[in-house]
Amino acid sequence: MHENTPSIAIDGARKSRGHMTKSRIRLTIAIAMVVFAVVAIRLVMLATVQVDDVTLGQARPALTATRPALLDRNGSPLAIDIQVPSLFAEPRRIIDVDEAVEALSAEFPTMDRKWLRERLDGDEGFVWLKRELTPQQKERILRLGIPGIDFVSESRRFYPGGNVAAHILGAVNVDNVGIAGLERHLDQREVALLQDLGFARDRSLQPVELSIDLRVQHAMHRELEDALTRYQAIAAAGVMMNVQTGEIVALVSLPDFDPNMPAGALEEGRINRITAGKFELGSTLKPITAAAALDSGLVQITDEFDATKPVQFGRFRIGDFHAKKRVLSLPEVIKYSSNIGTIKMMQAMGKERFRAFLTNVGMDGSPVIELPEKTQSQIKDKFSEVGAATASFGHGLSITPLQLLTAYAALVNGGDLIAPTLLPRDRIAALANSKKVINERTSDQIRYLLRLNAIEGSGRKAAPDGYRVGGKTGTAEKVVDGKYSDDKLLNVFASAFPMDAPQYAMVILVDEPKKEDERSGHTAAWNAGAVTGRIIERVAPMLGIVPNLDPELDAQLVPVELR
Amino acid sequence: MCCAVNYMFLREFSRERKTPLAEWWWTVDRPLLAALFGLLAAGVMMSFAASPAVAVRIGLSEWHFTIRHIIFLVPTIGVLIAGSFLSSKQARRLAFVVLIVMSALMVLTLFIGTEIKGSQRWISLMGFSLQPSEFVKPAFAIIAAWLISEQMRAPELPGHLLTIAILIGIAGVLLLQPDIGQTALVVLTWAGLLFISGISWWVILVLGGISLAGITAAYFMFPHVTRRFDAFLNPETGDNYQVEKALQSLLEGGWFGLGPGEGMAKRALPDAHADFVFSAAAGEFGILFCLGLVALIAFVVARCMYLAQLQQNLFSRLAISAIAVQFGMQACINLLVNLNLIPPKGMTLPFVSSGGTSMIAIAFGMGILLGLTRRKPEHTIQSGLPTFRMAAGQEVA
Repeated sequence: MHENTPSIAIDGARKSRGHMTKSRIRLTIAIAMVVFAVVAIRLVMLATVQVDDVTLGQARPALTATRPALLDRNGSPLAIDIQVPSLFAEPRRIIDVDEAVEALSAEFPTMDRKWLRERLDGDEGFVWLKRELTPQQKERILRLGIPGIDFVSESRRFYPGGNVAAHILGAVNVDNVGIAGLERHLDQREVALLQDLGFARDRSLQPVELSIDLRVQHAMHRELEDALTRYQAIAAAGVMMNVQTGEIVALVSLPDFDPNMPAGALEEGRINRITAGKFELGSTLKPITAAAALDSGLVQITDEFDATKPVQFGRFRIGDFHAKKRVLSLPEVIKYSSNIGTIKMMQAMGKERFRAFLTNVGMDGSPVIELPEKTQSQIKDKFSEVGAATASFGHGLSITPLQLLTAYAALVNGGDLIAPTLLPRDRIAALANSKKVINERTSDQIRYLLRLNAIEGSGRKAAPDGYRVGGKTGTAEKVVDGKYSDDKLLNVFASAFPMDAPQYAMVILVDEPKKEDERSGHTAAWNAGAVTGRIIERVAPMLGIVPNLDPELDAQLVPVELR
Repeated sequence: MCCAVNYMFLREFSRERKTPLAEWWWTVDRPLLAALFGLLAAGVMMSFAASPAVAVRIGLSEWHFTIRHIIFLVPTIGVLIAGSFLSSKQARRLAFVVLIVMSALMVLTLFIGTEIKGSQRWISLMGFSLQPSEFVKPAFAIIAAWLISEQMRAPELPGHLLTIAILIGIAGVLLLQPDIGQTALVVLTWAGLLFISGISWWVILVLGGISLAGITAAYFMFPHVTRRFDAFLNPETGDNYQVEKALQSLLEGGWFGLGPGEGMAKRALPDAHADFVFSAAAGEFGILFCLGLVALIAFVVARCMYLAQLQQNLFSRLAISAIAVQFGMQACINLLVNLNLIPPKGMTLPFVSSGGTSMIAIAFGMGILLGLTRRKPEHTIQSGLPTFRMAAGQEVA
């Protein structure tokens, strides 16, 4: 094709160089593609990097720790988690510090500008600006559109009722960890475990329903508050239990605290007196002594006891407060709260049997309850003659009010000792773990005795008409400087209702009450008894107990032997 | 794509009527043209993400850089299309003129130039600021390709020597500005050209050694290079604020991006509209978009090189390769800097970054490349077969 031959050689050389350029171009393409592939791989790597959007460090899991809601037995909230926005800044992402300071100080006029500027200026990844704001404030700040300013939702425990169930619920600390009451109990039971496993983050847990009835709780709280002022007492406490199931329906101990501001819980004297306080509960022990004696078979309801003169133990001499100075029938011993009669009753069965019965009805050790705040009762393992004598009417031994309540429940419910609980429980579950401590007949007799005391004895103020309340007062002189004081009293009223078919038992405690007015007294009937009556009057209708004024109901309580 | 376009331009582009436009349309490489327009479009889109923050920060109206970017699209596309109408001889002549004029202007920058960020690279011309070195780059690529191809054709001509002389001249001025990035790019273009022209591996090894020595020298001679390098090797010590922000922007978007206007890190990125537009856009449009953009750039480079090796004419082949190498190198360096894989150096992302001179200069090079890659009648006349098919046949043989 070409004109002359000499050019063929040159042409050939050119062809080979040309060929070379082609292969070199292909090599160049390959190199270029390798570089672009590196770029692409790097991009994919960057895309798969998990960016921790906010570097909160260690604090974050605790901040968002979620707790289960606590509900009362009717589903009303007692403790809930609310999400509150907390404002933080990422100074290294803030573009214009001046603008941010300007906008934020408009929203928070009280915030120190200099402090704010120092806070926002710098290269830190995270600083708190203000914690626990309202949703409205969050909305307004978001509208400002300041880069590098953001919110985290913090879980905050909120107790809608405030003080009302303080000693039951307890409190949580800043990190949402339970530090007292049921909150602490639940943490120990499960929340702590979940948090450890990392499951309790940003997750709403199943609400925990309690046995508490908020309405009853509230009524008791109100009445005890009223008692504090009415009798100028230093403390007042109460607890109510369903005798069929052991469920605690209400539990109040005043003074209490607001779980929303738990710092107050640490103040002196704010312990839970129902479970963490032990007291000489005085005459409220007498029905227990009576039950022990009757159940032993060595004492009959028809027996009589000589109370003409005080009982002498060496240099000790024990008399009666309302001394009748005559022979008393067993019901009269309870009705007049005779110490002498009770000692005789105890002696009839023997102190060993009496001591064993106290163990049987759960007076030893600490009360059984979910709350961590508990104390151990103080009862001598072996009673001396005089020790047994004083113990029979409730002196010389300290027990918690909850233990007294548990025993009373067993006395009136047919003899089943059921451990108290703050969680719902049905009758079948209650019976499955119960213990027969007295027989039905003894229980019937005790109900008669308690009802009798409420009709004719010291319990009159505690028994509003129609609710068939039965109960026993206890007025214990407090030990001051090693001696029993006669004006510093701890007054107790233990009761149950309705006596024809007991459903609830209650213990009310008023510590160092004064006379309400000139005409009234300062023994238990005047305060603890009266409070009991006011509470029952309020809550019995809520609890579905129909008032019944038929005298036949009371008549049927009387044991056959006495008719 | 063809159907609609064909219909619209039916008369002007008809094969039967030999209008210049029709001839251009049927001979220009349309996939490459489409890819280049795609890059320009991506540039506008990314400008919306990257520019407002920078503009507001330096006190201009929010859309200042975006509007400028769009205005500069007009001359850019004009130069691109015009360049693609040039024949290889016209292209050579134009490149020669541009090389002379822009080199002169580049020398002038040393005396009357505007100093920006420590370098004198800019010159004010009729109200516009111009960076002559941007134009010198493609012009040099074309002239070097011509000189080398001439020597390959006629070994007695001093093509290589002349090329080296021009290179030393340009590099000298660039280093005086100083502009290490452009120097590197010009030298690398020449190296690429040498490689493609088929020099022996021995020469490549020797030149590679010299360039390593050159980089080392740059490290010790220029304080800002030293700083950047140190900061890259040891992130704690140095000031690598820009790179850190760029990386943050890349990370914050994830696969799908935060969405237009949502990027945070870009706001703190000083060169979000220029050298770091890729990172800035990543935060808003996501890594998938970035992968697409990288693929588009890779396609442009691969397509140009593919077209280069199809060329029968040695000059065309070398010139196309040189422009493509330059384009690819510039894009790669920018991408690698954005991804913090190499130390930072001032290099725009071709056709995407904001910057009038850069865009028009790239368009100048790419326009000539489009012109050179047009299917030429002489290629089809000789064998009666279309060039592409013939080339494929040669491959097999």
